[in-house]
Amino acid sequence: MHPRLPTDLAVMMVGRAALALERNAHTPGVGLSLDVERVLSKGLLSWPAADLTRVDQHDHNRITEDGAEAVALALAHRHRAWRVIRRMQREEHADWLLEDAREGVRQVVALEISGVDRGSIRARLSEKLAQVAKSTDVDQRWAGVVGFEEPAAAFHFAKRQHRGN
Amino acid sequence: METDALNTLVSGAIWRAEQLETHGVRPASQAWAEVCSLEEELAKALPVAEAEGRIARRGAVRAALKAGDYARAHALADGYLAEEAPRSLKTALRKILEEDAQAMAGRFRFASKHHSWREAQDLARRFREAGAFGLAA
Amino acid sequence: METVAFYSYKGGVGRSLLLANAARFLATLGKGVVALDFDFEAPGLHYKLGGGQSYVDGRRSSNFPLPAGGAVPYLIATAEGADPPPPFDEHMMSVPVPTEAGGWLKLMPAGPAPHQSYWVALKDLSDRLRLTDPSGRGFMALLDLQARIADELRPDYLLIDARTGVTELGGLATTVLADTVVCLFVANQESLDGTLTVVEALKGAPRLANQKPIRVVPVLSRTTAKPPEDERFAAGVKRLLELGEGKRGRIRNDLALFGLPHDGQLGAWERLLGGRIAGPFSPLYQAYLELFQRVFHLGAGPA
Repeated sequence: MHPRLPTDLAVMMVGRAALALERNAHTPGVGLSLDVERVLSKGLLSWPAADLTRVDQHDHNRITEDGAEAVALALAHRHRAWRVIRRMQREEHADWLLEDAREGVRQVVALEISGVDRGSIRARLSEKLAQVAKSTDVDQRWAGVVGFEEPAAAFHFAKRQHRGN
Repeated sequence: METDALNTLVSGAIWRAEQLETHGVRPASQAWAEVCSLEEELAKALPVAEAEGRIARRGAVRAALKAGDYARAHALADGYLAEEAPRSLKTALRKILEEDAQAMAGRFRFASKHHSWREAQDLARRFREAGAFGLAA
Repeated sequence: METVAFYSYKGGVGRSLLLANAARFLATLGKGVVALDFDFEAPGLHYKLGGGQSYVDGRRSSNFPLPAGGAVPYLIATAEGADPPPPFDEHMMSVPVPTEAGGWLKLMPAGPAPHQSYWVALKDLSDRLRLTDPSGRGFMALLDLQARIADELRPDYLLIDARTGVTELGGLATTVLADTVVCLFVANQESLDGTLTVVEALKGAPRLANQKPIRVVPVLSRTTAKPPEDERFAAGVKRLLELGEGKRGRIRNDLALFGLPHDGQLGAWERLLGGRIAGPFSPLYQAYLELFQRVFHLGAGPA
């Protein structure tokens, strides 16, 4: 799926996604609502079982954020055929740099991901779109937000924010 | 090393450094030095004409500053500024260095009123290279 | 504010005692003085000024309590980005000085030595202060301390007890922070050679743009009545006088070193000389006054 993604990082993120879903009382095979640029669809999420007895050993917010990255990257590959190139430093305004080679022309995609444990993902999506719009040197800028209470994910495209330099 | 391997390594290194930095753990600066080395290798492997090459160049300078290696950050920036690079990259590199200098001026605000931060750093570098009293020069 | 560093290549030459006396003398003249102990590995300036643990008539006593902090914890905090900077009150204290001229004296000791907490902090100092940090943060922490003393306390003089030998901190205290360096040595070739090496380096040291070249005042300490008769030693002294400032000798146009005679009265409880029962007639104290006039650009000293 993402051969350049470090294995230990992937394992950790998947583990936290499992915790994020199971602490919201979901079990593998739960339905997920997906919004990709306002095109709505539904799917199923599966994951290796989590050990909820250890959930308190993890930072609550990191479970949400890292879990969201696992879900978002999996969906990015499944629905957009994107592949991770590398992680980006915070100052690049996006978490991941991915490649989109679907139409025979390679484009680079900046993807900023965030997670919401409870509640709506819309407000967070707006915030993340504003953030990733500042990314430079990429062909596409996307924000992806994953909600765990009612499993949902939204991926929207951000227009480049032009700054007068 | 191939860029795929470097990309994998830099991903893990950035993750680790940002986690250490978030938790205020002291080895964060060492972790950023590792990020700098990997970004530097990526910058060598990727031309400045490619987006990933420009991202790596910004990343190398930024990571050097986070590692506290001012001399390395400026040396890298000077090298990248000398390349045939887009104006936007050059502007971004200068801005990264300027923001760091402003942050230091804010942190050492008494000294900054009397001495230029850049000059003090140059003198610090000379002392580091020449040893106590400059006797090792 | 003028910064004067007191340096010696070897220890045990009376550097801290000289500084303590200079500080007290200047304060009695009406000057504002900050004394700073940078001899972190062997801090002792506070003893010379009457603080810390000392013994009077066989009983432990102290003229004034030391602050909880000092230069070591202060520099660690600022190098790590303490914002706001640590309050001076926690790292510095006033030294009582008998004066009606409005002078004052504050001391920033190295830290709460000999308590264990100080040695723990000192162990961490090189990691945290990072004088060799290429970012210059450790370097800027020293400059920042000096600048803050100048801006907030506004003393006439900052006197620094620099470390002996060839060390990073000693090098920075003298070559970067100081306007004037008083270099003490004793009458043996080892001490002279080391001092000459350092003084040569001081005169050629790079400075910040707004700093003047370093003034060096070499001082021969613990002199005896008869100076060493040695051509090599004499040549070294001559070179020192070419590089630094001496005093007019008995013969016109003849330069001589400032000398501090050995004082057997000081004994084991080496303390402030000026103002003691021994009084100003001590030859050592007379020599101090002559030196202070030159170092601090004073007119005739007190009677």
